Amino acid sequence: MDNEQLSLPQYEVPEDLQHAIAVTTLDRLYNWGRRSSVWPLMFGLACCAIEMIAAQTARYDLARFGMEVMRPTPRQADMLLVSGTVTKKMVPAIIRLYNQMPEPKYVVAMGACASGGGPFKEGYNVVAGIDKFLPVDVYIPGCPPTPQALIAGLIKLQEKIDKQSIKQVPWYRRKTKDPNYVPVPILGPDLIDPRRNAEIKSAAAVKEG
Amino acid sequence: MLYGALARYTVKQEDGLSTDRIVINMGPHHPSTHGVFRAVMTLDGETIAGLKPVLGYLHRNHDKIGERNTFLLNMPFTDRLDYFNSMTNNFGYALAVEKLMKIPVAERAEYIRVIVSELSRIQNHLVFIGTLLNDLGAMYTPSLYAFEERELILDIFEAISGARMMCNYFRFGGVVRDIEDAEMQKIKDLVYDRLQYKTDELDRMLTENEVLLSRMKGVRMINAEDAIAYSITGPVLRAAGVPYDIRRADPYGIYDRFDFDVAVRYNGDLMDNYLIRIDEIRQSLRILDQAIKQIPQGPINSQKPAYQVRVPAGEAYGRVESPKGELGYYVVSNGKPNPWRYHVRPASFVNVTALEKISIGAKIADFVVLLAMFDMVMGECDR
Amino acid sequence: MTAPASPLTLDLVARFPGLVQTDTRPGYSGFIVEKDSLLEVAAAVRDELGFDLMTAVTGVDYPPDKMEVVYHAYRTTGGPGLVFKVQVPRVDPVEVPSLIHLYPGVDLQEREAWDLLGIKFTGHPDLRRILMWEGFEGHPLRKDWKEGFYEEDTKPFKSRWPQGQFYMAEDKNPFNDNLPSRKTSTPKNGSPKATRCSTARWRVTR
Repeated sequence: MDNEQLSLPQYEVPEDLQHAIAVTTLDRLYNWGRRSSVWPLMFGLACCAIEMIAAQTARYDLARFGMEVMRPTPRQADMLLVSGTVTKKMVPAIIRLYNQMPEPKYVVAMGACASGGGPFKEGYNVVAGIDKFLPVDVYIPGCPPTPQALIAGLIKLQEKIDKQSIKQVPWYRRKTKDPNYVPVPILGPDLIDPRRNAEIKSAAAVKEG
Repeated sequence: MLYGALARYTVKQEDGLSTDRIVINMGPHHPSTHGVFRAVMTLDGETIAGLKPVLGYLHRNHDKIGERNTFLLNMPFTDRLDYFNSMTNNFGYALAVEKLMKIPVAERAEYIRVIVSELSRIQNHLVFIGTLLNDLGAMYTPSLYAFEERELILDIFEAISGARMMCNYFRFGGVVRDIEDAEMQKIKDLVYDRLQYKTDELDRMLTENEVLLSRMKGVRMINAEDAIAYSITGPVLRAAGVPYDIRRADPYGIYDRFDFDVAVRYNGDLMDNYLIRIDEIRQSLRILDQAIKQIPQGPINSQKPAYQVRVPAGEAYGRVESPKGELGYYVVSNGKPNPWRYHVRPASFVNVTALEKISIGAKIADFVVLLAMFDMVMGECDR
Repeated sequence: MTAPASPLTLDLVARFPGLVQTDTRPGYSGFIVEKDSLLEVAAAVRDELGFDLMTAVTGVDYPPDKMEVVYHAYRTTGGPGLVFKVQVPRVDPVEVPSLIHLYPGVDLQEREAWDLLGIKFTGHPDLRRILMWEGFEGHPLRKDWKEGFYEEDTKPFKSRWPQGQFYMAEDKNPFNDNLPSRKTSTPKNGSPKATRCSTARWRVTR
């Protein structure tokens, strides 16, 4: 990435010094550093994982975007790339992984199944999209999305990171202890989301009489 | 209830001391690319004393959705079962329903089906070699070599059927789209000029490798009687010494016209499981050579394209030799436009039955390679 | 290949008279075995007839009165396979003897039949749910089990809004069609800010 892009457009840096000097804001510098090395979590659920792997191979290189380091452990990863169908049995594991990721973290829903259930939407074990539990930043449609589509989606994520400002990001707020903690669902007679406990209790009370 | 099924936690030894075993969880999320498979292991030091596989993390209700779909609407769902070889999955389902409908398959379509199935087998075995070496620790270099060839085969699939992976190419009575001359020329170039030399190159680079030999040679996997008793099919059975290949034992389509050998190895250890896949790639190239030379001109589907097909009542079990084992489809119809019962007999699911017996006594490091040898795909295993 | 060769037909029915009969439903093939003699017949199939590879064990639900377990067995020397079925009445719980001691490979498939269809295999050492989780209610593949958002039995589903679902864009606009000549010159929500952004003067009339 050249320094010219880092510089703000209204400042003119002389030609011979453009590779050495950049005049920029703190936000741009901060975001440039973060978006150029997003480390995905090596997390593949189903068929979309194969296209994710294919996007990392030499033909559609993800290393050009800084995303070649795929960490299996969530403690060192930046981005949760949910690729594949989200099933009710797997949701507690996904949410535990999300909670273990340190801020700043992003969630990308890759494929039709993670965005909205996909072809299996009517299944009794399928959650219609990961956005029922996690806050999703980018949705990538396709079944499976070709590696070119995946790269287009990841570039959108990079553009989104560019727009964030240090003044408003949730991990520098003073009051909130854990801004993005999601409570882990429970596998009972069916999947139970703890955030809807009050609703479930009132519905059960109504049903019982 | 899972923890009630594990092996004994505290064991009293002969001299009166008791030791504890450790229960660890090779959880649904782990660094290998075998999908969401969970194994709860009871360890005695570093040896495995008991293992319980937990499946169902990718259970996508294929059977129930299949009962709601019409017969043709099930075809794209079968693509997503074993997501590496969508062509083979389609083949099995088309076979089962064609048995029920009692219709013939167009001649050119039969040859196209064989060509596409064997290409699919080659790319699956290439990915197997790549991911096996990832699991052994060779960080991604051999898998990049393998994926390069796979990309070329996927280019052909994209040119033929429109999609790289989920092809949805087969119909009842034939296939959906013809292979043009330009695409056939690409297949010929790939088979004659490239694939055989690249397979030899991979073989040369990897098979004599010291690390592979010391980790895989002599590590016994399973012997022939146990493999048959545990209903294992596919390359794992053939590496144990049983020459059972559905293409030769119970031929479907036109496989009885081709001259190929059934790849078999007799030691049953991990090295044989690896070598047998290279043997199978070579046999597939042989079949491809014959099929390309013998393919006739003609129509590609014996039926007219229809959205709802008429299927008489009855049952049928259509099975194919997928690169992972025997993939069977059990379809029961009662005359309506949608099936009454639709069940998939997956190769990976039934092969996992033997996992506990094989891995007792192995070390954890061996277990990782052993799991890789089964070539499990969770989309097929959990459906 | 589901149709066994004809010498086998005579063999199995003649070997177990009264316990095995051929399946005579149209389009079906194979044998129907009595539930209590299943272990005997399976042992004979494996030892005498030589079908040592039991490849598939499936359950089928035929409401209202019976359920079936279908077994497919093949010979490792090659050739067509053998299909035999056990029919059991659809009471609760459905019980079928387990073949695990003869063919250890049916372990996970019987667990799946228990999980999804509720067929209990007596003699199985570890009959737990395998694809769904412990504590899940119901056996999903039965014909009378419907999920919470069940719409219809077969696809293509009919439309949820048979009269169509349309709305007029003016109904979503607080100014309706933005013409001040109409009676609703004040916006519906009555906020002062809304009166500034009237687009009436750009409207062309005939």
